[in-house]
Amino acid sequence: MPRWAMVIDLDKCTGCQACVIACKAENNIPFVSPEQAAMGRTISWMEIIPIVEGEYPRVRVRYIPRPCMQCDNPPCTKVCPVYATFKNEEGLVAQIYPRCIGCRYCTAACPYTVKYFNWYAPQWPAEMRACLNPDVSTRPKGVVEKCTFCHHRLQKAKEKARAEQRELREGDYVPACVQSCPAGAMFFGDLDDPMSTVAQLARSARAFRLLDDLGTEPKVIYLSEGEWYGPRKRA
Amino acid sequence: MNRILLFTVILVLAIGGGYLVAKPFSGVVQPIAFNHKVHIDNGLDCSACHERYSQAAVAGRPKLTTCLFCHETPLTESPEEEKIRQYAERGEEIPWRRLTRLPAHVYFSHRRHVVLGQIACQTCHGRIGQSTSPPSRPEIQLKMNDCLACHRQRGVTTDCNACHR
Repeated sequence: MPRWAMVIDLDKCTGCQACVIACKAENNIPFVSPEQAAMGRTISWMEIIPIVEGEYPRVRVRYIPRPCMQCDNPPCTKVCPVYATFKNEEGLVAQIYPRCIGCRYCTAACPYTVKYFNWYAPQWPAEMRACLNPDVSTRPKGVVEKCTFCHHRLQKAKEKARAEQRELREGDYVPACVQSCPAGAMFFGDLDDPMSTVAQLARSARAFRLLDDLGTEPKVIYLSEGEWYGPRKRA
Repeated sequence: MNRILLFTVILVLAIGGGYLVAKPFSGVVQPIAFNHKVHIDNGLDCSACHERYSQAAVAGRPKLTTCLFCHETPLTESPEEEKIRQYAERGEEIPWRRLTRLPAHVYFSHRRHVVLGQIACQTCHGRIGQSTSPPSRPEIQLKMNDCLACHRQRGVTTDCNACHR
């Protein structure tokens, strides 16, 4: 059984936001009005978090793309009272919308703040309704959603591999963000396969995970030269 | 007292009657009174018309050209059959309505179940092949428990993520 993981090379990432847009288009993420956004209700499964370092005139900005970490020890699943969010056997932290009762315990429990609540039914301009991805359901009002590592692509990839009577190969299943990255900074694959690209990169000396000391064991692994303390400011 | 009783009875009748009259017909009405049984009895398989079942998630409703393959010239004197050629003359596709529907948050693939899983169409679609007129609702109303019971019986995945999306 594979254990899906993502590697993001921060030294290659230019902060272009292609992954953010690819994610929104792929997963039917609804628009949020400026008023709602001001109330912190923006939904963005993939987000680029800017980290400003130093003071003028010596300012440096780092960008860190932040999808769901798909933790091996997820804090969100432990608080879900209805088994709407759980870790499946392939290590994906699933979010099953029709089961969700909207209690938002998971939203509060996630230290990476990747869980988003639908405060109202999603709305799209009439011209955009035909652009919705039929492979992903739109979420109703009152449920929590988050990055799924585009698991709808896995459903199709598995079926295709079965139909062609072969095992799933590296590259058969890749989330939209990884596919869209123009800098080639994102990698995706099976962490349990020692020969896979992600497993090899995860062994690199540059590898680190966000808020590793919490013991969540994220399966999104970042690469960066030198010391990196995540969103904390460096001294 | 009697007046209150009378008023209540009239009110109940009015609301109930109004509901019965205005209640919309919720079933599916097909543009042509298609007879499945005649086609099956003449040796056609489900796949003859629902031809995408082996390659795609949906089995598909037949295109006009599929119908015209046999019905280009009249085979019977049925006025329903004549409708096919009327659609052809107008250059329109036949607007077949979908009978079996799953919620949008479920991924169901015909290729996966029928070709790879070797499950007969009748398992989920019942005796639609024996129907002589288009049913207004599916014979079998599939619930998630039906899916899970079959998945457990065959020892395949019961992971929510395998079907929900």
